[in-house]
Amino acid sequence: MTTAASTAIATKDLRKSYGKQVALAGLDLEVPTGVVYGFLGPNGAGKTTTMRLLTGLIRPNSGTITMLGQKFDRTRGDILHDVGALIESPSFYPHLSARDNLIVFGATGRHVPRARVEELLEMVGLQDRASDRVSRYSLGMRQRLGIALAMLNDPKLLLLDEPANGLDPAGIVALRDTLKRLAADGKTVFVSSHILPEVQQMADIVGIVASGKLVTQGPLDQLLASQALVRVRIEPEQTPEAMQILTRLAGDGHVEVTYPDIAWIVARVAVNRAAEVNKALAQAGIFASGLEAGSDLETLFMQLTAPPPPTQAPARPGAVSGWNSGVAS
Amino acid sequence: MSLAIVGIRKFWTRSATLVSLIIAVALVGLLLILEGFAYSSASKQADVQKSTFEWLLTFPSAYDGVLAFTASFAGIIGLIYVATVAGSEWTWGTLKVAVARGQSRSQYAIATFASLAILVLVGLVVTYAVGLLAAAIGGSLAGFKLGNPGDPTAVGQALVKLARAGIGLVALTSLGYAITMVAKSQMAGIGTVIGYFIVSIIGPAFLPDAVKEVFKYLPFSVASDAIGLQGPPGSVSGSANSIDPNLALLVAVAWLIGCLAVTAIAVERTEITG
Repeated sequence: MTTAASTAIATKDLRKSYGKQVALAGLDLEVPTGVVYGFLGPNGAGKTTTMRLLTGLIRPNSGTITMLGQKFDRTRGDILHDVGALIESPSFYPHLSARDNLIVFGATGRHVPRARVEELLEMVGLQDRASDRVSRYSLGMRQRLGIALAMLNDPKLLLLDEPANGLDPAGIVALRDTLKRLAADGKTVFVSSHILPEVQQMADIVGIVASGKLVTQGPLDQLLASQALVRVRIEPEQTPEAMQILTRLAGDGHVEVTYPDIAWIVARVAVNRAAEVNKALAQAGIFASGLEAGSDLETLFMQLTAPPPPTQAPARPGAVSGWNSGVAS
Repeated sequence: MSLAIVGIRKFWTRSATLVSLIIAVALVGLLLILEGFAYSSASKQADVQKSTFEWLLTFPSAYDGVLAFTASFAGIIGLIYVATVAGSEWTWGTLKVAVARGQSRSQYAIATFASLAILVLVGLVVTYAVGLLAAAIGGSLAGFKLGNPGDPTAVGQALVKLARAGIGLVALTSLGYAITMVAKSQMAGIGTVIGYFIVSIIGPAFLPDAVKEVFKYLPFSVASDAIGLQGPPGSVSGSANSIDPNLALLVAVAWLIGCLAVTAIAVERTEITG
C-alpha cells in the first residue's frame, strides 16, 4: 500500500451508473506517482467513465477520488490545474489555428505563458503548421495537438485516452519516448488504450478493468510473470496426444488449443520449464515447430477479461469470438 | 488574458459571426433603400403614407425609424447567432476541455456569454450605422430632403435609445443562450427562438387578453418597448400591447439576470458526457 504522498490517483469503491446501466461497480485504483500506468479494459468496461470522473466532467454515485494527495470532487477544480487530460477524441475550435487553440485554452484553468505554447507546438512537431486551421488537420495532427493541449499547463498528472490513436509510427515512438521521459521526471502518466503491445512497451504498471471493476492491478513484469505460459506449435493431428502430455505437466494449470488449424497449444506452465515441455513432447515423438515461453499483455488481457463460457445456447454459427465479449456498458 | 477577451478572439473569426452580420446589414440596408425606391415608384401617396416614409427616411426622425428596423432584425438574428455559437461549445467538446482544465463551469458560461454579447452589440451598432446610411440613400431615391442629421439633441437621444436597444438585445439573446446551454443543443435553442418569434408576432392577434398581458413582459416585447421609440406621425404611442419604456428596461435586465443565473446553475450541475 503506497502512501498518499506517493499516490497520484486513488479511487475507493467508485460507482457510477447511467440510469440502470452500471458503468463502474466499485473501482479501487491506486496509481503511484512517477509511473506510466496502463489502464486497460474491453469496450464498455468503464475506462472512459473513469476518465470523466477523474476530470470532474461527471459525478460519481458513491465512492471517493484522491488525486495528487487531495480529495477530489467537482468543487475542487483547482486540483485539475495540475492535471492534463485528453479524453475521447481531441476537441478544438476548428476555425482556429493550432496556436490560437492553445492560446484560447491556455486562458482557462491556470494561465499558460505564450512561450509554453510555442514550446509544445515544436515538441509535437506542429510548428510548421501552427498557423493552419485545425479543420484542415489530419486525424494524426489533431491527436498531436490534443497531446500538446493535455500538456499545456505542465501537469503533474497526465490522463490520456487512446493517445496513440491516428498517430503514424514515428509519432507513436515519439509519444512513447515523451511519456517515459515525463515519468522519469517524476510526473505520472495514466494511459487508457486498446493498443496492448504499445501499452506493454511503455507502461510500468497496468490495471485491467472489466464490467466496471478492476480485475487486476500491479507492475507489468510481475503480472506477466504470474501468468507465465508456454506455447508450442505442433502438427494438428498430434494435438490430442500433446494435450495429454501438457495437461500432465501443467498440473492444476490450464491447457488449451488456441488456433486449432495450426495447433498452437498454450499451457500454464512456469517459464523455466519450457525445456522440460519440449523434452517431454520430443520423447513422445512430437516435435514442436514452434515454442514460446512467457506471457504477453494481450494474452493476459484476454484471459482476465474473457466472459464466462456460455452455459445455455451454443454460439451462433459464424459468430466471431471477441466482438461481443465483455461489453458491459 | 481574460476569458471574455479570449472569447471574442475565438468567436470573432467564426464564419457564423460574419454571416450573421452580413445578413443583418443586408436586410436592414436593402429594405430601407427599397422603401425609398417603392415610394418614388408609386404614383400618388396618401398623406399618412408620405409622413411614414418621411419619418423613416429623413433626419432626425430616421434615427428612431432605423433603430426600430434594426432592433427587430437584430433581435431574431442575434438570438439565432448566440444559440448557434453556444451550442457548438457542446458539440465541439470545447466546454469539456475547459472544465477538464479546472476552469469554473459557471464562470466559463458567463464569460462566454459576455463575449457573445459584446459581438452582438458591435453587430447592432454596425447594422444601425449602415441602416442610417441606407435611410439617407432611400430618402434621396424617394425625393426627400436629408433633413437635419446633425441635430445634437436628436443625436444624443439616438445614442441613448441605441444603448437601451443594446440592453434589450442582450437580454433577448440571453434567452437563446440559456435554452441552448440547458438543453445542450443548438437546435433546441434555435427552434425555440424561431417558434417564440413567430408566436410573439401572431400570438397577440388571437390570444385571450389575459395571455396578451403576459406577452407584454416576455423578452421580445420588453426588448422592443425598452427602446422608447416614437412612432411615425399618427401612430399611437404607448399602445395597449406595450409597457412603459423604463419598466420594460427593468424587466429586460431581470430576464438577462434570470437567464444567466439559470444557465450558470444548469452548467454547474450537468454531466458532461459528450
